[in-house]
Formats: sequence, C-alpha cells, structure tokens
Amino acid sequence: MKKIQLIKLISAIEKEGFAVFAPVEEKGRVMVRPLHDARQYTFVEKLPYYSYKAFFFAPREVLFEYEKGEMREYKTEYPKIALVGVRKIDLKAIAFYDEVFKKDAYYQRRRKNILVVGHEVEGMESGSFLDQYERDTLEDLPFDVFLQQGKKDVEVFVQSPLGEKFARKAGERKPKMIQHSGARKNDPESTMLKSAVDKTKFSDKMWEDLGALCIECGQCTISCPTCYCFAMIEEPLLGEQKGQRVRAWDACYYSEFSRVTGEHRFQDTVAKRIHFWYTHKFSRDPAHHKMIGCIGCERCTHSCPVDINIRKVLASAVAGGASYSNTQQESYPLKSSQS
Amino acid sequence: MDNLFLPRQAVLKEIYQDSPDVKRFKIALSDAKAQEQFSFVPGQYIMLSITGIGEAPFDVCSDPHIKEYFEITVRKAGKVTSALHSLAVGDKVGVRGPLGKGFPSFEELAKKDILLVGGGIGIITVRSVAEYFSDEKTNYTNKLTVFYGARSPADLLYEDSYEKWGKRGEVLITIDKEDPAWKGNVGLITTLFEKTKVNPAGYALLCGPPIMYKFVVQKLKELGFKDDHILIALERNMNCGLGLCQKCGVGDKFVCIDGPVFTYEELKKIPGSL
Repeated sequence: MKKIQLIKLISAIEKEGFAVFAPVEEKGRVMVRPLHDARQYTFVEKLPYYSYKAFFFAPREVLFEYEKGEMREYKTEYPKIALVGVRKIDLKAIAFYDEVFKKDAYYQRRRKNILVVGHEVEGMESGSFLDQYERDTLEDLPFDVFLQQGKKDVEVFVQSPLGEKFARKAGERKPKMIQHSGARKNDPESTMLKSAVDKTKFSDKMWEDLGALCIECGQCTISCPTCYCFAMIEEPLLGEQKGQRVRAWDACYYSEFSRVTGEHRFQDTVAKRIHFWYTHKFSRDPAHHKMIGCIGCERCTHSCPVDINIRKVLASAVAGGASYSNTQQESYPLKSSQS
Repeated sequence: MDNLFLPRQAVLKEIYQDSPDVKRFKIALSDAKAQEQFSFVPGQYIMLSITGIGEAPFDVCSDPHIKEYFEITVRKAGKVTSALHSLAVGDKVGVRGPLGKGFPSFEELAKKDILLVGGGIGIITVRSVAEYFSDEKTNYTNKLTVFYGARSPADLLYEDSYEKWGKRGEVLITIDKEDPAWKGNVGLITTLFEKTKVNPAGYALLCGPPIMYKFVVQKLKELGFKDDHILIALERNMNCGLGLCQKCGVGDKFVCIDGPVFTYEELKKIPGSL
C-alpha cells in the first residue's frame, strides 16, 4: 500500500459515516484527535498520552432511565468511530476490554460501532516494558485493518469484512485475512507477576512506603488503558420521580470506594488502597480473565505527580515486597532475571 | 445480549417489623413466570433498586422451597435501607439476581451436621438454611445447631422460628449485655461453644461482623473443624454484582461473584479478607 492508498483508505472509512480519530503531536504530548483531512495522517511512534479507553468504556454511561418506579433501558445511537494509527500495544488493551466486557451489553453496543486501524512500523520498539507483548502475533490482537509498514511498502492485513471492504476500496486487491479468536492468555510473565503480587501483603514495607508517597489523586487509574472500575450513580432528571442510573469511572484510591453501610471502610489506609490497585491489575484480572490488567505502557508512571514508577513497584514485588523507593529502586524487568 | 445492569420489576407483597430497626419484606417479581423460576441457593443475594435512591445488595433469607415470593430482612442503616423502610405494601422495587455463590448445595450440606453461627444481623444470611432444613417437606436427619448472638432481646430476629429450627437440633442464643427482660445466655457468641457439643466433622456456616469471624474460626479450629468445612459469608461494598466494578475485591477474588460465601481454606490465604 502506498501513501495515496492510505489516504484512500481513510477517505473510504470517512465516507461510510465514521468519525475518524488519529494520534497527533501537540505541545510535546500525543493526543487522539479528530482527523479532518486524510492527507494529514501520519504514523506516530509515541503512544497517546491518554489511552483509547474513553472510546470503548465511556467515562459516563447512562444505564437506564426511570419514571415513577418504571425502569426503561436507555437506548442511544452510539457514534460510528474509526481509530486510525493504533499501535500494537494499544490493540492489546482493546483485546483486554473485549475480554472483560464480553457480557456487558453497553460495551458491546459501543464496540460494534468502533472500527480499528492498527499501524506498526517494522523494527520499532513495542513501547511496553513487559516482554510478553513481543510474543503477540496479529492473530492475538483485534483490529479491522492493520498496516504493517516495512522498509519499502505497507503490508495490509484485515480481520473483519468491513476492514476488507475498506482495504479493497483503497485499491488493495488481496489484503491478508487474519483470524482472531480472542486475546492470548496465561502468558508465563502474567503468571509470574500474579504470584509475586499475591505473595506481598498490604502490611509489607513496600506498600507502607508507597502509601507514604501516594497522594491518592487517581491519575494513574484514569490514564491507565486497562483500569475499568466504576461507580453506579443515581441522577435525577426534571420530571416527576424521574431520573437515570449512570455508571461512571471511579478510582480505588478514594476511601469511599470500599465503604459499606455503617461507615466501615475495608481499605482504610493509603497503603491498603495502592496495594488494592495492584491486586486488581496483577491478581484479580489474571484470576478472572487470564491476562494481567497492564500493557506495560507506563502511562500511570508518566501521569503520577509524585513519580511513583510502576516498573519499580513491580521490581519491589518480585523482590518479595521488602521496600520501595522511587529514586533508587531497580526497575522491572530485573536485569538479573533477564535471560 | 441480556442487559445485566437492568433490574427486573418487583412488588413488595408484605412487610413485617421484625425488631425496632429491622423489617422483613416479602417480594415477588412482577412477571409471575419469572417469579416462579426465581431459584436461589442460601448465601446468594439480590441487588435491590429503589429508583431515585440507588441499589444495594441483600441476602435472600427465605425458605428456597417457597416459589410465590422470596424474602429479604433489612436493618435501617443507610440510604437504600432507609428508603426501603419507608415503602409500603404494593410499592415497586427493582431486582437483579439472585447473584453470587452461596453455601454448598443442600444435598452436600445434608450429608453432615450443620452449625449455623449468626452474629447480629448475620443471622439473616443463614436463616434460609435453617428454614430449609426445618421445613416439613424435607426429611433429612443431620443435626442442625444454631448459634445466634444479638445486642439485646429487643434486637432478636425470627423469634417465631426458633421452635421449628430447634426440632432439627438446637437453637442457642446469647445477648451482649445483661438485660432485665432476658433470662438466657449473656456474653460473646463464642461462649455458646461451652453450652453444647458441636460435631467437628460437620459444616459450620458463619455470618456476622469481622471480629466475630476471628474468634469463632479460632474456636472451630480448636474443635477440629476442617478449613474447607468452615463457610464464611463476607460483606463488602458492591455496585455491579458482576465482577466488574472492583468495589468488592479481596485478594484475587470478588465477593460479588466468587462469594459472598467462601471457605476458610480460601480466605486464610488472603490477608485482610477477614
């Protein structure tokens, strides 16, 4: 595929009524913005500062409406969105949502209208500190169209009939069909990290150290592509006994998160809450979805105002939970354990 | 695809004042056929919605033999429970569930003697087991022992049922502090272990405040109960009931789908779970 065909591909997607979004550099950060002119599309190596999460799992989703005790499912037209230029590591996050939300009607409706065009450049670093993503093949990742940019040409792969249609419209006569049946699971690295995090207790020194550093702003949870906890909230509307139930992004760093009737809070210290965040991603996610809730993108580290570094946290956990320091710690993967 | 977040409509059929701050609600799904098919295992819960107020989990506490309705017992303590207490017979509520993993099946429980330990409103969670095994329709022969600890005689729930439960074994009750209206046992629930013999080869089903678990489990261990025969119903904040929202995470488990009932075998490996 040549540059002109790439423009044709994006134009064809636009013509089908999709709002096209792509990563763009803005003041040193990469943001995912509407792409108004297909000719301006270009591959961006640096990952978007904010992940693609909000497109798939809305920060605020109306679940249903009610009036005088009668509940009605909230039906809305989800927008047709095309995400163009998604790197493999971020496709992994999409594979993760597809797994976590496989029984979630709202996710499925939104997801049905999202077209994904992956893009990767041969020989470029994956962008993940986890080594498991080197083992992912195109069969393991979800996309409609995937552009594999070699030295001379761009190879085009497709997974869906719609992706195939667009590739053909762009003049690609024989796009390679890839079968995807879900994300790769039970990677040995995930198993190892689960076991390491499970072995640490919230009372271990490393979590105490982290509890003293963390200011509970919740930025790591918001910026994390694979954090998906939420709150269910009652919102009144104008009208007699009228309102709606909404689910909205939440953060497990807030002390109300674990509050039960009677005001007891199970996670009543910062150390317990930061430990809870790690058990979500590295213990509960692999226990229930056979994948860790981390793609190794380090967005949490970049967004942390007090420089808590996930690679150093994992290094501490792997080392048995002894202590944590964000200035002198070794980073995961530990050099000693690399083969 | 089923929408697992959308409650089914239900109606409050009857309301009983069980103690000064506790009411019991008979509820039936508005769709008669759905109500007929509503089947639960003790220890499972429903998410009950009051529109405009919110949703909260409540353990189903009625005899599972009953098909026309199910019951929940609710202490007035928070937002949803207070709103529920203000409702009247005929009012509509929303119901999701039954959800979660309850106690082992009756066939399994019936093989052994059963000790039910209910601390405070924890008695609500184990009530349906007592109701089931003391129901005339069942002819199991295993012994049922009920330990129940309440704050005061006025707080005692299900007083009409003790005689029926006792026919299958024993019901022992204790209250926290001396009370002129009370002639029975006074003291912590663990003191009841001195009053009778429980069969350590049986099952122990526990529900109560976290502090109770610590002492009761210790006692059960001393008596020789097996870790996987000690069954504990946990309480946590829950929003979704589907293993998604993370509120009820405990180690690598969710109380909402992997529990609320766990074995001590499982929980002893998770610091902070008890």
